[in-house]
Order: sequence, then structure tokens, then C-alpha cells
Amino acid sequence: MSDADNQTRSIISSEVEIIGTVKTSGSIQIEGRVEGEILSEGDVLLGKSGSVKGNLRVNSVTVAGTIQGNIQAKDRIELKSTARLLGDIKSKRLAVEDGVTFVGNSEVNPTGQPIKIDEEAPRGGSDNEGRKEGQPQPQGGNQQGNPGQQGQQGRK
Amino acid sequence: MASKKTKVVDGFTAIRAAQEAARHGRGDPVRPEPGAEKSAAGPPSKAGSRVGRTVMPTKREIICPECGLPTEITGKVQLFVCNHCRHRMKLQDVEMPEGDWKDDLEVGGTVIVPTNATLAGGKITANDIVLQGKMNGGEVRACRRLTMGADAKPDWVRLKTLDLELGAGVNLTPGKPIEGRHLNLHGKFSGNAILTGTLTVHADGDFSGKLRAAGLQVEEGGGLRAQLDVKPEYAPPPPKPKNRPPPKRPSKLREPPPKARPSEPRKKEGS
Repeated sequence: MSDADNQTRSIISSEVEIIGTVKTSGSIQIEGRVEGEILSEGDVLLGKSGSVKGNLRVNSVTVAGTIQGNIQAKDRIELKSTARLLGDIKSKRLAVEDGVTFVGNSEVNPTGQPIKIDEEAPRGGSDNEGRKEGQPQPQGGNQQGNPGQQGQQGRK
Repeated sequence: MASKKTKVVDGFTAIRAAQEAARHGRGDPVRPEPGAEKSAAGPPSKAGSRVGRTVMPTKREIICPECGLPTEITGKVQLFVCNHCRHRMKLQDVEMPEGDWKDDLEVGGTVIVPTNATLAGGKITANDIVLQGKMNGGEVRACRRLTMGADAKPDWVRLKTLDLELGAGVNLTPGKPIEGRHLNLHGKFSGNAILTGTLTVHADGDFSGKLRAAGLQVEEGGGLRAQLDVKPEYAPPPPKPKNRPPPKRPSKLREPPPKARPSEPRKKEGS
């Protein structure tokens, strides 16, 4: 990591717990616990010890900890092998390491149109708090044309 | 007199020892440095010149069609004997000729069905199958992996496989959910999959549909539009080793029979 990145990166250390919305124009590293929304125009790094209960609307995010909420990333989402994600994701690019736990919907289409981040909070963020593992729920309003899923629902 | 210690030295041990010596700067006894004195015996032997290029024999996983359990084999083997059920089969690779194929075939290697070949009958069993042609009849069973080419036309009713790999350019929409271990995508898959292993979406791959799997791996550039339920707990537990009777102890290690207790000195009768 370059020095320039360090200068603009905020860090929430593992002893810190935040309840509320975190909004930053730069990058942020989360090692603690956040209960609320995270809005970042930069990159978000969620460390192994970090956990977020709420939605993320970011430029890019790397997840090694736990997220219970939806992720919308303009550029890229990366899930490390220790990541645990209960929620939906929407991004242009995705990289996933083997070993993740992921229950939710994914909408990643690298060849499609660029992802437009909603100005309002993504729907269903609070719904995920009550989501049970093993029962992924449809993304609803965020769902665009998906012939594969439509076809299967018809078959089932 | 000092006791002689006997030690078995195999080829790999000797090679590793030579590599270790070279690594620690003790010099290569076979290839001395340019400044070193030449031995009186003449030029060094050529045997050690291969030290740096030694290749360990490759290991292959063969899944037995009878019992379904994997066996790992090393090196070149022509006949496979299952460690679990003693089933035997040849370990050759077969490329089918052009035209229709109607015979039975069972091999432990790879069967390639090229673009201009058609499976018209018979039962084909192989460890790996590369399907690029058509299936008009017969049964196909890939014990380990089925690789589909862009021109393949499979018949999913008569096709069984553990792992499925879609080659580049393949666009697969199976009519029913795919069940198996691993799914490896270089092409496009639209449908449902239930896996006990991992879904791997490569940079040129795309998955859309529903997925339940133990693992997920996506390379950057791969597409994923799906309902996902991915948990490592869905992986099956590793097979337990069979309970075999404990080996008999060699006769040398048998405990000596208990010594007779020293009997009390007999009292002399009549004294």
C-alpha cells in the first residue's frame, strides 16, 4: 500500500463499535463492529475481525470478515476465504476465494452496463437481519433481466 | 567390536542429499567448480547431471466405477486395481474414431469423443471423458470429470458424472438441476446446480441460476447472476478408514511368559 493511500484511509480498530451511518469520501478499513450503513467513495477493507450489520455502498470492497447486509459496489467486490456474507451483492466485477460463506443474490455482469449506485438506501438491508441461513431471498427491486432465474422459477 | 548400521538408500534419497549438499554450499561432488582440482579418476560421471532436472512422478486420482471410491496412483501404470474393491481395468486413453460408436468400453483413463464422432450405443465408462461430439444413444459415465466442448450435444438422461467442466464457448442450459461435486466454468451455464464441492467461475465463464454448494470461487471477470447458498458445511465429511483388524504381533515382540514366582523354600519334611 502506498503512503498516499495511508493518508486518506480511516481505520476503525477492533476495539471500536459504531452504531449509525459511516460516510467517507476516502477509503476506510474496518476491524471493529459497525451497525449501520457504510457509504464510501473510496475503497473499503473489512478485516477478519470486522463485522458490519447494514448495507454498504462503496466504490470497491474487500471482505475478510462478516457482513449482514447488501453490498453495492461501483467497481469491484472481493471476498476472501474467511468472508461471511449474508446479503445481496451488486457490482461490475467480483472475485471470490474458496472457503467463503455466502447466502444471498449476486448480480455481477462484467460485460454489461456499469453499475449505478442507488442514491437511496438499497432495499432489504434491514430484511437481512432476520434472514435465516440457507434461505436466500430474491433481491426484488434491484433485480434486472435475468433469463436464467426466470426460467428456473418457471420450471420449479 | 562396533556394530554395523545398515541403512537403505533409495534413488530419491540420494538425489535429495546431493541437492541438499549443493544448496548448503558444500559443492556438487559430481560437478566440481571450475577452479577445483580435477580428480585423478578422470571426468565426472554423467549420472549427477540430472540432479537439477529431477521430476517427481505425477499422481492421479482414479475413481473406481464399481465402488465409487478414489484411489491415488503414481507414475505409469497400465492396469488399475482398486484399493477398496479390487476392481480391475485398463488405464489407457482412448480417442474414438469418426462415425458411430456402439461398443462397450471401460477404461481408467480419458476417453475423447471428437466433434465428428457420435455415441450411438453401448456403455462407456471412463475416469475422464472429453465430449465434443454427439450423444444419440448408449450410456456414458465419467467417474471423475466430464469436459464439454463447444460442439458437444449431451443427453443428460444417459449421462452421469461427478465433476463437470464447460469449455470455452459452451452455452449450457440443462433442463434439470445439475448434481455433482465440482462445476468448472469456462463457458456459460444457465440453470440450477447442487454441488457438494466448489463452483469455479473462470474469467471467461458465466453462471446464472440457483446454486447450493460447499464452495465458490470466482475469478475476476467471471459473471455471476444467481441465488446463492454457499456454505463450507455442505461438503461431505471425509470417508472414514475402514476398521481393519490390528496386525498380529511378530513372534519376537511377544511378551515372554511370566516367570514362575520363586517358590518358598520347601520345608523339609520330617525335620
